[in-house]
Amino acid sequence: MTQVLDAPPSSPAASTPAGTLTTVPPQWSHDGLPAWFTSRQEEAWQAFLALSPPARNNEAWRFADLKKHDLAAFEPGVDFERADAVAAVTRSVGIPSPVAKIVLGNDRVLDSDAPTIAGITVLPLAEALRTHGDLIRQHFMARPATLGGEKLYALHLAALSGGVFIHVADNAEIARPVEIHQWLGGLNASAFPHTLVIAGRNSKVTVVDYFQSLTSEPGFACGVTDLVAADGAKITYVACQRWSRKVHSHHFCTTTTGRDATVKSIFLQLGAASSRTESLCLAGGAGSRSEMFNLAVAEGDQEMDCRTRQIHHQPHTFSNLLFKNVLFDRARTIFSGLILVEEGAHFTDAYQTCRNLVLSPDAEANALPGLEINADQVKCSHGSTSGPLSEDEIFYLRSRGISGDAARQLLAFGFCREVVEAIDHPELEAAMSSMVEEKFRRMRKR
Amino acid sequence: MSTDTQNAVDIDRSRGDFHFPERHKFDAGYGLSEKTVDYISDVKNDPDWVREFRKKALKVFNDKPMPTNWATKDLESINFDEIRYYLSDGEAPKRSWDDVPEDVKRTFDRLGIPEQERKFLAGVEAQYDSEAAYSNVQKAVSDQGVIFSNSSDALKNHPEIFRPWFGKVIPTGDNKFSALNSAVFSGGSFIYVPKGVKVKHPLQAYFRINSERFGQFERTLIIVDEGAEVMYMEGCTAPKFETSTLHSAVVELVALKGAKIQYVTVQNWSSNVFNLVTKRGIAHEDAEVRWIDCNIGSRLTMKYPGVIMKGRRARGEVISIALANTGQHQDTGAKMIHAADETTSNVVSKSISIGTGRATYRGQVHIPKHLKGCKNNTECDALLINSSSRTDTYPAITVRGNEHATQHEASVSQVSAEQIFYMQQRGLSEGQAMSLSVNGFINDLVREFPMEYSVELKRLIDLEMEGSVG
Repeated sequence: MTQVLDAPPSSPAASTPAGTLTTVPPQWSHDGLPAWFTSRQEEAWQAFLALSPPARNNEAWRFADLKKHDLAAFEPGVDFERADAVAAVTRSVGIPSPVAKIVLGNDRVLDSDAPTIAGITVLPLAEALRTHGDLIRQHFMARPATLGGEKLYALHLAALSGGVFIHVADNAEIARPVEIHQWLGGLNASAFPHTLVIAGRNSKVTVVDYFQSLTSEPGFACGVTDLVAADGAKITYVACQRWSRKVHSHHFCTTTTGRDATVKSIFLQLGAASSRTESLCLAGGAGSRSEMFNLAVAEGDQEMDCRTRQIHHQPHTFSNLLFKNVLFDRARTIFSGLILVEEGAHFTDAYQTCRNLVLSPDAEANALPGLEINADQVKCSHGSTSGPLSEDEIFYLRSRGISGDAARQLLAFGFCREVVEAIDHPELEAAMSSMVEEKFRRMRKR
Repeated sequence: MSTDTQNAVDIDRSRGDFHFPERHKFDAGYGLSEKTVDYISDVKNDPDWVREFRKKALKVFNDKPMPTNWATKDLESINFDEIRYYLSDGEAPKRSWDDVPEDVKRTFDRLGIPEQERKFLAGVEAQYDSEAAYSNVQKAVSDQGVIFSNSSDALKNHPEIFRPWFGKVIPTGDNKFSALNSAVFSGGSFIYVPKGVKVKHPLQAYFRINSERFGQFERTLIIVDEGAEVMYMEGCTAPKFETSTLHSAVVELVALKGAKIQYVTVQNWSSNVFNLVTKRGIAHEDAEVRWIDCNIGSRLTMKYPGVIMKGRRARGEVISIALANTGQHQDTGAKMIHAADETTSNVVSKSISIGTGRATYRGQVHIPKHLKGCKNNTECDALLINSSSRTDTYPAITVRGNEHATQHEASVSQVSAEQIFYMQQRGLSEGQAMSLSVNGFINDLVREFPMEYSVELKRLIDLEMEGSVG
């Protein structure tokens, strides 16, 4: 185990005053980083300043509460105090014996367990840029953001200092998952989690990202996940978003698949005041499969906003999407998805399903499922439903002696299971399931 | 393959593609300004409040941007300065077919209007450019108190009925094109059906553009009083000119308590008409508004018939068929606004894209807070005939609260080679097989049209084709 907890924390006095995240350019470290990288960061800052914030008439922000995307209060995150770092590391519990584990607090590495087997490299991004610079250059944020968050995407790149790089060698099958714990701490602090997974030909890997807050203070997180699967590779990516209820979160996830490659991403959205996820999947090589799953359990005033695009630009590709939302209280959810079958992408199979379980009279579910088909011999469908629990099902359970409240909990939890089961890894399923259960339990106590 | 089939699945456009020389007494000239609006108001001898209404609308139109943030960029090819906004021969609509000027009569004769009127219509209004040329209601129907006239007459003769609802279902500022219509509207039907009157046969309007570089802006308002029922049908044609033409109508329907309105459209504009239409109905308690819409012609159609379900147990429905051939974009859809408890809405949309044609479904379903028991069902199916055909679906569904049920489903498919092969193996030609498949795809919707129209529709979608399997 590499303990980096002894690294001196920067003194709080050196921290920048409140609200400087969007006004003061980040201090880029040129220390051994490739020139292409630092110049991209500087360009990104200029792009961030130049781009206008989302406006009301912007279709990509339809239904979103734009007030929730004001960044004026936030400042760059500072290093954790030692006690906080220890707490974060102690609380970073996933499943037993992951193949590698890395813990970050406000983008600084707090703890890292190197991989125990050959064929896989897990490194902090800054270090990987020195050792795997050329490989990273090919895939690092290679796609522009197109789903509305262009300005935030630029901010992410400009402010990026942490991040994790995972590379799996050709033909290496890694059975145990890689675990990343991303922590956010400090009043109005911000973090820019970044996970880049590159899976070589015919390799196989599972990666789990946990996003959590150390305290319940307001904060801002703007993360990027890039999943790149070479021909025949298989990536399973699980993201468990449990930011504190005062955090505004924005996340970009892009997946690229080579020939016969499979990428599956599963997002659990449990925390944050507002969480917006922009997911792009590029079904590239013939025979490739891209699957996207998302489960949001929203309560109180939470807003869960998911924008997705499934792009097919080669023939004979498959994609499937299942997004489920459970809404309590005054929660709002937005699902806006588009299947785009480009010219020439014949024999595409693409599916998209959004299901909203609305459990309160004040909750609001918005769905914008879309299709754009420009090719031939395509099988495409989308479906979207919104509704309450079935009274018949509740009646059935009650007739078996289960109370009405317990029956509702049981049915709502059953609704969530479909997404959790998509992980297809018993230990991870159990871990994720318990996170969902914990949220339900907390709500029951109120 | 794709070039062969561009013309393979086509409709008979030749019937509407002819025109007569213009002989207009009144011509508002090219371009749109306050003067144009004054000219129209002068010619039509508008009451002052209508003139004011028009001028306010003109300002709204000028202030509003083109909705290209969500709609197609093709809208930018409309040059508002090269369009004439009002053309008429200055004569009152004729009650008798014999009095209609010869060329106009021949126009509608060729389109089969008098024939249809004799056969099954309760009333007909035929609009030629900006004004109605012919207008007739069967005596039995007018004796029941049904008012069926053009917009100018109705606003002058029956303001007590029409003014309270005029511009209320679709306010001027609803969108850029409803504002444009409000500024320069002319023609269109105003219908009032008194309490309890069930008009047995359909009322029909026929819209014809005969002049080049001209915009038709008819305005229709149908008010159906408590417990009454009516079916209204409209058809549209224009010859194919060198330059594009604009048609921008506003149609408002008001179904009072327990009333029932069915509005049938068969739109077959020539393929250089921009057809940008705003259609919306209000359904009060227990009332029903049904839009039965078929779009075959035009270069670009943007039309999303809507129903605001304002009273308990009101019902809204949109049945839509769109056929987009090469050079056409059918951007159609539905808007269902639930504003009372236990309201139900249903949308069934089927589109066929041929050649490089593009069919778009855009929908909105809105169920606001504190309502109970609202239901919506939406189904959109798209059929692609050629490899270069295109289809899009963009629904938007908002549901607040836990006492509603909505479902939306869309699918895209092809006529599969296996299907065609199977039918050929049973002795059908490839063309017949294709025809059967396409007709089968829309068959359940075609049945919703009145019989005379459904026969016509099947004929319109004339599927004489060879080598068309996409």
